[in-house]
Formats: sequence, structure tokens, C-alpha cells
Amino acid sequence: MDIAVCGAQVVFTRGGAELLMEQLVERLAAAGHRAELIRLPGAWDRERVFDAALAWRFVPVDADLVIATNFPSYFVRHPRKIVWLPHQHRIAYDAADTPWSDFGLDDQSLDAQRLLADWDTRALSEAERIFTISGVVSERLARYNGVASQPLYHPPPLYDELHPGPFGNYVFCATRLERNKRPELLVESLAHVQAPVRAVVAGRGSRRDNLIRRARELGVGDRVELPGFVDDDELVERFANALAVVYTPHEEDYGYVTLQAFRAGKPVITTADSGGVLEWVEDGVTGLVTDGTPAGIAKAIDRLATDHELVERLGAAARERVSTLSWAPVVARLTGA
Amino acid sequence: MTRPLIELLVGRDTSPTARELVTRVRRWCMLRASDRALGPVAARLATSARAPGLPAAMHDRATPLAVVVARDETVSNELRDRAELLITDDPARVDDFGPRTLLAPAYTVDAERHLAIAPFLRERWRHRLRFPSPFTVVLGFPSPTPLRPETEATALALASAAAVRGNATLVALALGTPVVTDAATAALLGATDGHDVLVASASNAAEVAGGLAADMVEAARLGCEARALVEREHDVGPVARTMLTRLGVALVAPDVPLGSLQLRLDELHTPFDASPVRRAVAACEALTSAAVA
Amino acid sequence: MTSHPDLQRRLVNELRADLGAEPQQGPAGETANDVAPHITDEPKTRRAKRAARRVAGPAWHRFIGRIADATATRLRTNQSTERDRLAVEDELMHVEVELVHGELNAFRAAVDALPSIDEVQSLTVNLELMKGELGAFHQTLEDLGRAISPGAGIDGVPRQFAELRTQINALDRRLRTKPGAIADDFPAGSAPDVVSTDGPGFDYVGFEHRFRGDPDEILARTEERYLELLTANQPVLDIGCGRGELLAGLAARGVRGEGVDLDAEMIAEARARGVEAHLGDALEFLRATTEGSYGSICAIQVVEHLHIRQVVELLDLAATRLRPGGVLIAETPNPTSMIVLSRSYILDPTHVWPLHPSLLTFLCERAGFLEVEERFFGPAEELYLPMVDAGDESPPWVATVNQAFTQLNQILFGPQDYAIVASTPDE
Repeated sequence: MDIAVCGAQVVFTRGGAELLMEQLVERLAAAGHRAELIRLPGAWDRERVFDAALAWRFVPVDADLVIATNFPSYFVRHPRKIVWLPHQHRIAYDAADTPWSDFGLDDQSLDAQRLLADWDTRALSEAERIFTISGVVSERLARYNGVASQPLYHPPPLYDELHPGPFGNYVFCATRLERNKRPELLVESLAHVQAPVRAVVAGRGSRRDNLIRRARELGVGDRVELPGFVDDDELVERFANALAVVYTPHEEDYGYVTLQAFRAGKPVITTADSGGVLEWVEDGVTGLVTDGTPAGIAKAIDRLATDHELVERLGAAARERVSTLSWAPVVARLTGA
Repeated sequence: MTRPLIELLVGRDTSPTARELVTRVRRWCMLRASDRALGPVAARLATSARAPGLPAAMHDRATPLAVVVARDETVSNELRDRAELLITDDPARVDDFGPRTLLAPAYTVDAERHLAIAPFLRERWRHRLRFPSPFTVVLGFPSPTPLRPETEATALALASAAAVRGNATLVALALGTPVVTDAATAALLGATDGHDVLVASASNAAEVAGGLAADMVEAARLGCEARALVEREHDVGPVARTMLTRLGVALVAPDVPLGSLQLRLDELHTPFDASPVRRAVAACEALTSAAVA
Repeated sequence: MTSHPDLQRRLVNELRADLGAEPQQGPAGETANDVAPHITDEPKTRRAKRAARRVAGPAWHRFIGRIADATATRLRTNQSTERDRLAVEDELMHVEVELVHGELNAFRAAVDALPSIDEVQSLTVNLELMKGELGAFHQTLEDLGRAISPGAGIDGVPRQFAELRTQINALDRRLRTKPGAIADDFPAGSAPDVVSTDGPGFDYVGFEHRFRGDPDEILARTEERYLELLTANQPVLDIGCGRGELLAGLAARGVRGEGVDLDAEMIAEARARGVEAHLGDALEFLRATTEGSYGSICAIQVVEHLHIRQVVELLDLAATRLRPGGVLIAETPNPTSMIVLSRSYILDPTHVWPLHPSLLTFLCERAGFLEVEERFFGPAEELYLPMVDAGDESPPWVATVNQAFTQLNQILFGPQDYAIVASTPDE
């Protein structure tokens, strides 16, 4: 089958959505289809948010099947349109009126949100089938747009490479250093940690300087390592040798970090408001769920650092939990095979 | 660009269907009743097969003619042969009238005026406007706080859920309000219990609506289906658009760039005169004027 | 302002009022943000001094400090005048801003009161449709008019109808003057035989004295009811004039008239009062009179004593003996009021048959009268069932009961007399 995968592009930016699209094209090809990725740039500010949506309406796509992914690529028109949604345009939905959204609660913003919700519902309803990448995304789609969808879970990047290793003396996190990922929480909690444990936070982002400053202020500068961007091989090793992974984003959609940690046999410490992470982290089974305060997170780190039996049990359960993830069923369901 | 002029031929009683159709046509065209001397007109629309001006209009074969036929009206063979379009809200007469028939909904609401608002946005509006939340509206059922007709639509636009029957029901559905109604209303509007509305008895409708207000996911789903039902079954907008196209007076011909843009925007059901339309039209005007220069 | 038509602020505020909530000043959050942050109100002199001190290093302190103080003093003088001037300007500007605010608010209120584009559009549509509907009605009326009056159309209809009516009445009268024709209209045996008032065995004068009430009062009531009409239509013929009280009263006011009665004694009394009174049967008297002799003919409490054939003939004769535009007044007990039927009407054995107002009206029309009016008098208010008065906060059943009582009062104790006032066509 000729399959066009559609995705929106934010120029000069790469993130989870890009990985997802590329992986999908690769896996479709591996399954014997001709697959190509079609991308159109979009703008996320309120004034221009509809422009790219409208542009997708005009894109003539000659293919047997279209698989649309993120907003607004699902505005593409095709008689056989499948949607696999990584997330909605969240700054106009659940993240409206947050510091990182220019959609507030004023009249114009609410008008724009109404129009966007209306357009989204319409474009999504045209699809033959709607899938999302996680239960959290499906739940949001049902809550905000009244549209039913099915979560379709896929393995994270490096799934085949990641492996368990000895439980080392650091907690690890690999994430973009942005506000909504809340990397500060880990740094701040370190000040409360009793055990001789370090923290390694890999990844780049705008909050990096802030993190360094905060660590210095709290007197934990020597216990926090910020290696910046790490390549795949190093990432795999960092996961393998960690004591545990601390991942505390706000309302995450899916969260590759969780799945990668589990694949490496590491329990994950998270917060009660981390969204999609909670689909995987079960308190006391595959990780620890905290109240989101630095002290609470510190307590969880101390627990894992001092109780070897616990950390091993959780790690094993975590690895088991993601053992069935595979691309084959994802490709099969998306193509209707 | 001036709007095309359409002459109205009006009988003694204007049926609700004809009235709604005329209201929608008004958004693209200028309308004049047949009481004054008009120059050439783009088309004629008779709101009744008994309109007094009809016999004269039938002789002017150069001007296209559409006739809204009320349920109790008969259509002469002459009129049947002459009129470009016969519009009826009676499905039984479609076969009778043949291919020139356009079926209009019998119970209509202006879906372009009452735009859908999703439940989560209603909540945000209530917060912004300092309304109680959740906010359950009861209309047509016994209610401790009866509303005036003027504020019914606003109440429905802000409601978490509504127990409603009677005239306001279609407005509620168009607004994407999660609706609880009685079996008779649901049947009349072609709504299905559990799919686009919840059906309850008069005694517990308000209570069911209260429960619905607390269930955001079910409320969102019902609202979405309700809106879809209205657009599918009870909106005259598409009928008006088809009518104008078939009379050859559509504002935009689909084979020019502006036309396809209009079509795409129509597809998205962009509300008439909403900002994307204005922007799109302005953009296309810039293109055409550049081309002319 | 939102673009959603159903969320216009005006409608929202109305809804809020309907729900009984308090009106809001402005949307949440806006008022607080609109206030500009307070600028620190440090006097300029102090700022200048401080700045000067900061510039002056320790070595220069005394020298420059002195210059700074001198400068500050000068600045203070200059600035205090400047400040006063600014304060005045500031005050003026405040006033201006207040004025502009006031105007702006008035403008905003005016804009809010304007109908929305939406409403204007729907009004335009309604206007066009109504124009069309009106046109269609007009067309229908014209068609009707042309069917009735082919020459003149709708304008000729009233004249055409009046002519037709006159023709029909004339035909009708001619038919009925043929012997036997009337019997077909009114089946015999439906009314009891006429009871002659002049026959032996019943003392009508005595009966009347006892039961009809005070003659002066009756006279006053009659005059009150008809004086104006009779004055306007002279001369008057009073059928059943009795002792001539009414005619005498009229004569005293300069109204000309004469009377006719069957009772010789009464006629004698009437003549004694100076009234022109004729002894004999009213019908015979009228037959002998020339057409168009009278301005008005009144028959107060007479027709109920006549057989139906006599009533018909009386009306026919009256219609012709009145001149064009003349008036017939026929007063009789109102049989649609139960109290009348059960008491006063059957009390009088000389009554032949109760005459329903509609019947009498019908007969008048048939006799050729043009305008026929029914006037009702004297409800038996003293017998009315009393209304329930439960104060301001009466329970709902009180209204129901009172409504029922009102209906009952109407049926049981309604007007006791009525009069037909019928006028002959103008020439």
C-alpha cells in the first residue's frame, strides 16, 4: 500500500513527535508498504494557529491511505484518513491559561479556543479510525472534543538497545530542560536526600542555566551532573547503571523516559500529576508515585537507595511491564490489516 | 462586489421552512419582496405555491425560479415544468416532484448562528463571566427559575447540561449542549436515546441533566453528537447554498481560487463572517487585485 | 467582545438578572489589571538632593555638597511653582478624563441597546416577508371585491351590499304579506293563546298597581333610558301608552308625541293630562296611519303581551310608519336572566311568550330595519352571590371560585330588561 504519513513541522525544532513520525515511516516500510512522510510547517501562536490547519485542507495527497499525526496534520483531506494522535494542541486545551500558553481566559482567547475545538472535532471526525499514543491523550480527546479514540502504545526509541545493569549511585533523568518537564524538582529534592546519591539530568533546553543556579543555591552543585546532549550509546549506559529514574513532568502525554527506564529495568519515581507516566508507574509495583514536593521525591530516592531488595523487585516488574511493546501490532492496526 | 438581488414572491402565510430559508439566503443575497418595481433580478424565490406573483413570474423564463411548496399546497403541472427548483419539507413528495426537488428539514434551527461550544469551554466561560458552575438549565420542563425567551439561548450556551423540550431543544442541540429531553421530542427530531440525547420523563429530566453535568466525558460526547445531528438533519444552510448554486446565483463559483477556498472553509463549517473567512477573502482580494494590476 | 452571538455581554447580563444574581461590573480579572501601577511619590527635591550626594565623592563632599544644596534649593523654588502649575493642569485633565469617561459609558450603553447585526438581519427578512404577505392579502381582497362588485372593486362593496339588503328585505315583506305565507315561517301552536287584557276575569290595573312597582320610579327609569333617543327622533308614538305618563313627561321637555292603548279608562286619564291618546288596537291604529309619520315608535313592556304574528306585524308596520332614519324602541323582560323567568315574567298571566333578544333582533332585521342594537338594563345586583375575599395572599382556589361565582351571577341574576333599538335605513 502507498501510505502517506502526515505531520506538522516546527522548523528548527525536534522532539518526540518527529521521532514518532520517522519511526512510523520506517516500520511501515519494514512491513512492506511504500511510506513517505509529508510535513508542513505550522505556527503555534494564537493569531496564526488556524493558518496551517487551513493549509492542510489544500494539500492534495495521492495515496491509498493517509496516517495523520499531530495538530494540524489531521486537517488533511483524504477518503481514507487514519489519525494517530500524539497529543492535541495542548496550549489551547488543558494548558490554556498557563505561563507557556498565549491562550488565556479572555474573550478573544476563548473565541479562538471555541473555533479550534470545533475545527478539531470536525477534522478528526472525518477519519476512518482515530488512535492516540496513550490513554491520557484518549481521555483528553473524549473530555475536550467528545471524540472517541483508542490508545495504541508503541515502543520507545532505543527499545532494542536498552538493557538492565547494576544499580549505581545516581538517579537519572533524560528530558528536554523545559518548564513543563519540571527538571528543577529533581535538583531541589537532592537537598533533602540523606543517602549518598547523585543526580544526572541529561538533555538540553532553556532551563539549563536556571538548573545550575538552583543547584548552587541549594549547595548540591557537586551532586548534580548536567551532561547536556548525550548520544544513544551513552544514554543506554546511563540508563543501565542508574539506581532509578526520576521523571516528574506536568501532565505528560506518553513519556518515552518512563518506557526507556522500564526497558532498562529501572523503577521510576514520579509525581501524582504526571499524566501519561501514571499509566505505567504503579506505586510500589513498578516505581514510586510521590506528592510532587522536593521532600517527597527525596524520601522516595532515599527509600530506593537504602532498600536493595525493593529496588530490584520494582526494576524487574518495570522491565516485565514493557516487555510486550512492539511495533508490529501498531503497524497492523494503523493499516487496518 | 454587490450581492445578487433575489425577488421574493410571498403568499399570505409564510411557512417556517420558507422563513428559515429566506433568512439564510439573506446572508449571500439581497432580497426584495415583489411589491415594488425591480430591475432585472438574479433569481426569484416564491415562498408559497400560491404566491400571487407566481403566474406572472412563470412567464419570465429568463429568470430562474425556485418555489417553496407548503405541505397543503398542490403544484400545477405548468409550475412543475417551469420552476427550476421545488423545495419541500415533506419527504413523501420528493418522488412526486422528481429531480428538481430539494428536501428541506421540517424542524430547523440556524446552526450558523448558534455555534457549538464544547463543555470544557462552557466551564471556562462560566468562570470568566462569574456564573455558577456546574450550571444546569431546565426549559420546557417544570422549573423553579423560568427564563425569558431572549436569554434562553445564552443560558443554553453556558449550560453544563440542559433538560429541555419544545422550541428551545433544537437551539440546545445546535449549541452542542448535552441535552436531556422527553421521548416525544427526541422522536420528532430524530434523536436517539443515549446517542445524541438522553431521554427522561418529565419528573426526572432535571435530575438526569444534573448527573450529566457532572460527567464531562459523556457530556462532551453527547454535545458533539447533538451538533452533528443538527448539521446533518436540521440545518437549512446547506439547502440554501445548494438552492443558490442550482439557480446559478451562488456568490462564488467553485472553479476560481476563491471558490475552492470557500469550499474548504465551508467544509470546516466556518461560521459565516468569522475571522478566518474575512482573512481568507481579504487575502484572495489582494491576489485578484494584484493580478489585475 | 466575543464573536459568539449567544454570548453577547448584554444577553449574559440579562440572563444573570433573570437568574437573580447580582449584576457584574466587568469580566473577572480585567478591572484589577486596568489599574496602572502606583508610581513612587518621592518629591523631586529629595531625589535631586540624593542624586547630588551620590555624585559627590568623599573628597569633594563639602564643596560639591554645598553646590548641591544650593542647586537643590533653587530647584525647590523653581519646582514648587512648576509643581503648582502641573497640579492645576493635572486637575483639569482629571476632569476632562472624567467627562470623556462619562461620554464613553453613555456611548457604550447606547451601543449595547442597539439591536445586533443579527437582529437587524432577521428584521430585514421579516420586513420583506411581511411586505410580501401584505401584498398577497391585498390581492385576495381585491379579488373578493371584484367578485362582489365587478365594476368598482373592493371600494364598491359596501354600497353593493346595502342595495342587496334593501332588495332582499323588500322581497321578503312582499312574500309575507301574501296570506298563509307567514304561517310557514312560524309553526302554529308554539305559543299559548293570546290573553286579552281587556277581557273580563283579570284585573290588570289592580295587578299592575300591586306588582309593577312605583309608577314614578318606572317613569323616571324609562325617561333615563330613552329620553335622548326620543328627543332626537320626533314625533313619538307610544304604543301601550297607558295613562300617558311618559308622553306627558316628554311634552314637558318639548318633545312631541302621541299614544295608543286598549284600555279606555287609562286613555281617559291620559287625555286628562293633555296627552294626545288614541283608544284602540295598536296594529289597527298603525295600519290606518300614513307611512313615514313618526320619528320614533316606542313599545315599553308591550311585545311580551303579543302573539308572535302580532309582533311580526307590529315590526313590519313600524318599519314603514317610521320615516327614514327613524327609531323603534321595544323594551321587554330579558328571558336570558333566570331570575326574570322564575319571578317577574311568569308572575304576569297576560304574558304570551318570552322573547329572546336574538329572536327580536332577527325579526327586526327581517322587517327591514337597518341597524339593530340590543341594550340591557338592570342586573339584579342585590341578589349577587358574594365574592370570596381572602386578602392579598389568597390561595389559588379563591380565584377559581370567584370566577365561577361571576359566571353564575351573570346567568342567574343578569340584566332584567332589554330593549331593541332598531333604526330604519336613511334615504
